[in-house]
Amino acid sequence: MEVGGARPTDVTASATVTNLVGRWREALRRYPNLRAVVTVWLVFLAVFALGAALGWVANLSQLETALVLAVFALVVAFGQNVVILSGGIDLSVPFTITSVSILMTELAGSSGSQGIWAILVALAFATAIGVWNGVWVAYLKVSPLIATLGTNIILSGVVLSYTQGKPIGSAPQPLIDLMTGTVGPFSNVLFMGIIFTIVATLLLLRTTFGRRIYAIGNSPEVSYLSGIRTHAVTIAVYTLASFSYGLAGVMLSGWNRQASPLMGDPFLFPSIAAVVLGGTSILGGRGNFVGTAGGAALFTGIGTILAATTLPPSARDIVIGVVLIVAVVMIQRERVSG
Amino acid sequence: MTPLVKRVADRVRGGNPPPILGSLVVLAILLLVYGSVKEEAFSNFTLQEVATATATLAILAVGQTVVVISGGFDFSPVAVLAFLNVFLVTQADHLGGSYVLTAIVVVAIGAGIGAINGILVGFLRIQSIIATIAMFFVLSGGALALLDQPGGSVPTDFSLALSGEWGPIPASAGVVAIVGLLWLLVKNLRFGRHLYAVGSNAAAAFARGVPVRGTLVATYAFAGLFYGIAALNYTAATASGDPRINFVLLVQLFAAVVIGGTAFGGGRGGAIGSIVGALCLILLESVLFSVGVASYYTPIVFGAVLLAVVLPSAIGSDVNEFVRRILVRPRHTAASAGGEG
Repeated sequence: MEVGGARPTDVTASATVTNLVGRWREALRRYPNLRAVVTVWLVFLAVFALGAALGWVANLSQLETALVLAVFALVVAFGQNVVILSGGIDLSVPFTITSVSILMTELAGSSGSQGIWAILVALAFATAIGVWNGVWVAYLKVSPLIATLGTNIILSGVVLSYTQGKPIGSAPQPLIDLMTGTVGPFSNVLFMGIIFTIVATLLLLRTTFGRRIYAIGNSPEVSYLSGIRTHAVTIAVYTLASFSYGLAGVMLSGWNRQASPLMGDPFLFPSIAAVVLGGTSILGGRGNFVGTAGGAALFTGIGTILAATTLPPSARDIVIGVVLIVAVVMIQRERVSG
Repeated sequence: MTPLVKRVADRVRGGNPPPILGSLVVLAILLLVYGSVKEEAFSNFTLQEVATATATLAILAVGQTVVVISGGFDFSPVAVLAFLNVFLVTQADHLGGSYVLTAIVVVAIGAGIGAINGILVGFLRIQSIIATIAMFFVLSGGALALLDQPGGSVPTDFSLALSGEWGPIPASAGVVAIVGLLWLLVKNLRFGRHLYAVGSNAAAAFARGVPVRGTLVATYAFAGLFYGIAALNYTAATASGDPRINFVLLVQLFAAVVIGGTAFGGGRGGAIGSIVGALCLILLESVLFSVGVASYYTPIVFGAVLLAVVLPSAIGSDVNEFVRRILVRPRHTAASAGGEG
């Protein structure tokens, strides 16, 4: 918001500034968590600038790998985001990712280009997991925490008993080509991430379904009384979430060329952390996906930068924990004062 | 005994059974099955085994129960356990080699970690899920920083003191009994009443002069103290350090609390039920092992049990709601003016 730079005349400059400040205030009023969203992205850029300045991010390929990992994280975080916006929480993330990926690589085996249908079957399975979660939460009124925790541990048993703990099969060749391919100097995954973020944001902010998610997150009773079929929306929310985890699993196994039985483990708590860091209220009904994407990118960025330093890998978790607390305290303050 | 039986019978008839009753029934059934499928089910050796396996889970579950009664959730216990476990293994020598002192320090650190959680939740008003996930990150990183792979050891006398035998009973059972008594004592102090008051309705409790924030700090500190005791017991039983996080244990924890009759949402339940719940889970695991179910399948059974335990009350509420919805549907349609287009 500094005046600096271009200033044709002082009058127009100050008018522009007033105008900008006014717009910013207006935007803040319409989107209460805008400040959190902007902050998280600025911190993300600052972290990378610092990393580059200190020589930790030695080259572009390192930066690109970080961004690719961030894309996987943000696809997962989108699922967690819609569930939290609807007033729930989803702990079935790790083994939804893993079971879907294992199913795909097992079905595809080494069948090469014939393996495309395996992707579809795997994504259908992800959808089924979501419906199952949604039914438990919506119709059986089980606490989302218990229902999804139960789902996760059941899936973990299925995966571990089937794979005996070892990686299995391999991703279909076309998927590997797609995920490891590039457009010019940039990985395909980056473009997918951009498209996914735009579509996901529009889905939440510009569609009836998106508004209904916010509605049931704010008050299921009022939503029900206003004619929203809350059960159906809840099931759709969990289904969309599981589909996202499945999609992330498919993308990740394509990028890694295979699926392993513990690949989903590092995604659970970071997905919740990314959602919260991006300004979404854990109680539901408030927040958006742009912030969440920033949160996911920031966490992955911190991880990559720290991995390039001499600090031990454990530092990453400690930093993430502290960042999370500081961010939440700041967001909370703003809500109280504003 | 008779007045007690009559009291329980009255409450069951009145549709208000004590929350622990369900878990006791489950326990009785499991004991029967366990006795019939397991060889030498009640020999000293197997009982010792069961007690050791139960103790860590049971004590952690007691801590989790306290937090759940206050209306929160704690995701940090498995990370606290890992952190204190490696702390004990790596730092004991720096504390002069006295294991009594080390034990006190470990329990105190546990309580301190809990108090930080409590300050985050009570004073900074962070949702318990977020605060404890942040703590989870910090401590799992901390555990790895102290010890980057499983290893280390503790002296045999420390192991024996907490996982050997105290006279006729397994030491682990003794530790669990002490924890249970501690809970019963605290429950009946003023803090206990405040805990239940804050859990059922924090605003109402505040209006009646209950120090809500202080109670929350004490709640989490108390939970952390139990995690510390669990870490002592766990380290004595395994006699080594392991910085990795045991996610299955986290699930078992929640399952033990739910089986024990403590309702999520706060204000109801108790820790003795969670101890019974933990025992049920361990017996179930032992039964499955005895009948030859591969250990890979046990998570499936745990998950099914967790969902099965919450199902009856869930279906009950839904039937009620179903009936209510049929009866009052016209009013709902009349009220649906405005809102979503």
